[in-house]
Amino acid sequence: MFSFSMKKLISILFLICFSSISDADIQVFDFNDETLEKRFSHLTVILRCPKCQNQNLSDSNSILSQDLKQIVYEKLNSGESDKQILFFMKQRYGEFILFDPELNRDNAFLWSAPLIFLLLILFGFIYWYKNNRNNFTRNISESDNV
Amino acid sequence: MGNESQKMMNKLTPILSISIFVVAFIFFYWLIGEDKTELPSQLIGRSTPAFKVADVYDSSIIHTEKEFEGKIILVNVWASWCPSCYNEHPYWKQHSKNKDITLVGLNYRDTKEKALEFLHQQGDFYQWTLFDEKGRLGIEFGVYGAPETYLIDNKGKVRYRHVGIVNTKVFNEIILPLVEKIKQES
Amino acid sequence: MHAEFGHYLLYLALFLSIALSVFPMLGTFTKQDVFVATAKPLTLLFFSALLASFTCLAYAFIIDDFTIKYVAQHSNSLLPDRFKISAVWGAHEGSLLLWVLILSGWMFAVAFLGTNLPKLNYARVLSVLGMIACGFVSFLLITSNPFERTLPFFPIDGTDLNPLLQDFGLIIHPPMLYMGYVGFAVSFAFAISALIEGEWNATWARWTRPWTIAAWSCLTLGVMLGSWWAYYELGWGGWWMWDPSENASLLPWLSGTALMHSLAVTDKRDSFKGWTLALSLTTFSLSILGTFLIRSGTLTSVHSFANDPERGRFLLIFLAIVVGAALLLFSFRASKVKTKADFSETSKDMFLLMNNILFISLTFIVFFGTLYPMFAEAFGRKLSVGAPYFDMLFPYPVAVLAILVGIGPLLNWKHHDFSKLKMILLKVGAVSLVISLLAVWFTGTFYGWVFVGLFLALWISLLSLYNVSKITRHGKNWLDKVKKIKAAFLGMTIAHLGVAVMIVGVVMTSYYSVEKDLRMTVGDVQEIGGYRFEMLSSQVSSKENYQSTTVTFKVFKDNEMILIMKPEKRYYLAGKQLMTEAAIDYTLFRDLYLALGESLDNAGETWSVRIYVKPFIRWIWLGAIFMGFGGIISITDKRYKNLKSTSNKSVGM
Repeated sequence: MFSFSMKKLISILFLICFSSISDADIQVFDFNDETLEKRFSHLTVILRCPKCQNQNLSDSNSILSQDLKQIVYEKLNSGESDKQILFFMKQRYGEFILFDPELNRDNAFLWSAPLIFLLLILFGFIYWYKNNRNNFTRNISESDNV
Repeated sequence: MGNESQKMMNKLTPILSISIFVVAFIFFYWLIGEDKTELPSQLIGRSTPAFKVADVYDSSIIHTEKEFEGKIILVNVWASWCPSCYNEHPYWKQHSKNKDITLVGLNYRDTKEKALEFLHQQGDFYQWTLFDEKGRLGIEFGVYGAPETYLIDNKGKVRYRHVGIVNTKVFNEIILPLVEKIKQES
Repeated sequence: MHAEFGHYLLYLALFLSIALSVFPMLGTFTKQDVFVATAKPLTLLFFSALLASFTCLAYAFIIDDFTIKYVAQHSNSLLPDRFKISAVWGAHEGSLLLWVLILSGWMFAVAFLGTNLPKLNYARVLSVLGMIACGFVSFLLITSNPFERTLPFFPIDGTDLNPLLQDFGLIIHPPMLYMGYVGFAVSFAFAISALIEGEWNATWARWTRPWTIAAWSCLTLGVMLGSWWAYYELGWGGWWMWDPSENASLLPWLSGTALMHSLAVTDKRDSFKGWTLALSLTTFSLSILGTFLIRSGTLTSVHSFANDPERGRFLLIFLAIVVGAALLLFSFRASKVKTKADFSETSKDMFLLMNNILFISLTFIVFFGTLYPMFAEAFGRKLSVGAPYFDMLFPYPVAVLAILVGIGPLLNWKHHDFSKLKMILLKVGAVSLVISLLAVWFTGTFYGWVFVGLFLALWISLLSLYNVSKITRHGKNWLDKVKKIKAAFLGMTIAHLGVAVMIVGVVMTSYYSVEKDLRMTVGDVQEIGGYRFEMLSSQVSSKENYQSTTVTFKVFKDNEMILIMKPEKRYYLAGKQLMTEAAIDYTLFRDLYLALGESLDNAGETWSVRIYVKPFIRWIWLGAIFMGFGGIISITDKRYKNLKSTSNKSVGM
């Protein structure tokens, strides 16, 4: 349908579109150390893109996410700890940027509520059971497996 | 369980559940109107971050935060790729005339040619413009989009961040009263 | 005309649902047969009206009627036909119409299949469903009319369906998901009806059970399809991100699973009635809560529909009415229910009670974690609660549940003598322990949760198989043995095996996946996760509504070429959007996933590439499929057919 040169023209135009699109897709970061690479994967997953609709840095294509990933990369290579890197991000963008809520006094309720809930129900149940168990027999009834 | 406490439990449960229900309803109703995308600035009440950034016209001129000392500064974050910035820019023509404030531009993540073209075509109302090509200064400020505007007092403390266009309404109703307040503090 | 006709049909449906809400219910109080008998025909008409209305909208899409706003916003003349139809539910208004259509479908099913219910109950249930339907149809008409016109100025062509949605997933995921969401309205209606009547016993449970299991199965498959679709379409290899919209679908599922199990107890032992009633009411309330959260703009999610405060307020009020009515009815009627503790610590009853408690805890974890950021915002804090929170808390109750799943089905009701069972459990435990240790040793790295997961999967599977052997033990020959396996038992076993399969998939994928982002140019070779990837060539081509650049890769394992993979970059012409089409090769035991990033040169021969090797990921969805089909099989059990024997009371009591 298209002549050879027409096809080539389209493909070049096509690719120019790609290269100039500012939201780049997959960024490549070269690591020599596999531990650093693992830490990078981990950090970019628990850091939130400040302007996206609920994406982490790893999944996000936005310019800001690219820059933040670059910063994580540089800091890892310069020897900073995970804690320091997360603190850096929090200092500038607030706790919003942390998908993993910190373990501090402000978040005490957040982290403990599920456990408290479970314990409350459990104790409530045990209490009820102890008070109401006088009306059953321990006779072995016919087996009924469904 | 004693009869007394049982009766109390029976009365308490509906009251408790109804009150939780009402509170939940009010809460969600309020929540519906809120803007979910707005992030509060972490810099409010803190000092301007230290920086060394080149001027957009002349890369041999390096600006630092020391130039802000003693002045009330408005840092306006803009870029040629930001559509709203074209809407906002004409307002600065008027607002930059205000004698109390010094308007500084922060060109964020742009190319020099496009930034200069913007200033040439739309007008340059900034006292000076920082050329933050890599966006690192923006990150120090906690910038997450454009346009954004930061109000910094004469002691170098960040007092307010506005996300979005600073039109006349925003300038008169939010910025100016804060500027007055800062003037009174000195 | 079709738009106006479709719109008119919605008004008709509204009036029908109002009539359905009023007359049969009135009839049950005044005991007038005339009113009670209107339930079936009204339901029939309601369903027909909605079906016709939906057809009008679908028709508008097929003929490219861009004078209709919704069609203009979500379709395009170049869009392939199958996507024109699924575009009907590609955005808010149309998907809501689908929702209501499916509700009417369930109502239709109840009307036709529930004729052996006592007349009063039948009428009441349909009336309650009518009230719910009325709420949703009003919502449609007042805030979300899909038939709104763009006239007098209409576009020459539509904006196009979001390319992310131009996919098989859109054809099946929303319909199946809604089948589940909406299906729980039936058990809700049964519960409300029982509360109004003041009677909720084993018979009531037996009527509700098949409907609940059906809804649950649909929801299971719907959520699974969503997970699978997100995995291959969104381009990041994740199968669950704890995104608020995903959580919104998980909440009714968790509550619904508890409900389904609790119903079994009420059915068999005429017990746990408070639990079952409460869970029936809660599950559907969670469905509506989910709908509210997603469509009101209160959640920040990749999946959110367009935000509109007006819609949010309407939905909130509707939710308040539903939950409020349920709460009031429950507190006035059911608070007098006293469950007898007529079972021992070692009984099926006890284990199912523990099951209820654990599932409710899981529901709470997801509910709390999803809503906490919103609560915090009211107090001035802006924080995020994401995957790390849920990943930390969720597995523990699941692990305990897995242990119960193995043992529970083996127990008798009321009391079980553990003396014989103890030996079996120890033996199975030991075998599971050894095999899982061996498996973990074989992989080379020890991960605690992998070991635990494998152990639990084996525990469940072996005990399930033991249960099967126990049931068929006394069969004289193979045929006799097979006959002893009833549908309900088979369904349960398959579903529980599905749990085991899913656990394996989750732990293996979570810990042994390999992910790399690399720069590759034509001719390059990379070794990842035991496979070798060689980039061969890059080509550009034109398709129906997009242009594609395809990069061809050869894949080798142990020096032998096993396949060719062709990830693509697509440029959709109408919406001018760039999409990544990942190349996925899947077998039962691993997925190979290749996605193109950006072109790093002008010839299109150097690319940033994402390569994943994901072991056992298919087991996650396979497990869910087992669960869904297990549910469907168990509904076919004969015990649900014998309900005719329950009296068909006429009205004049």
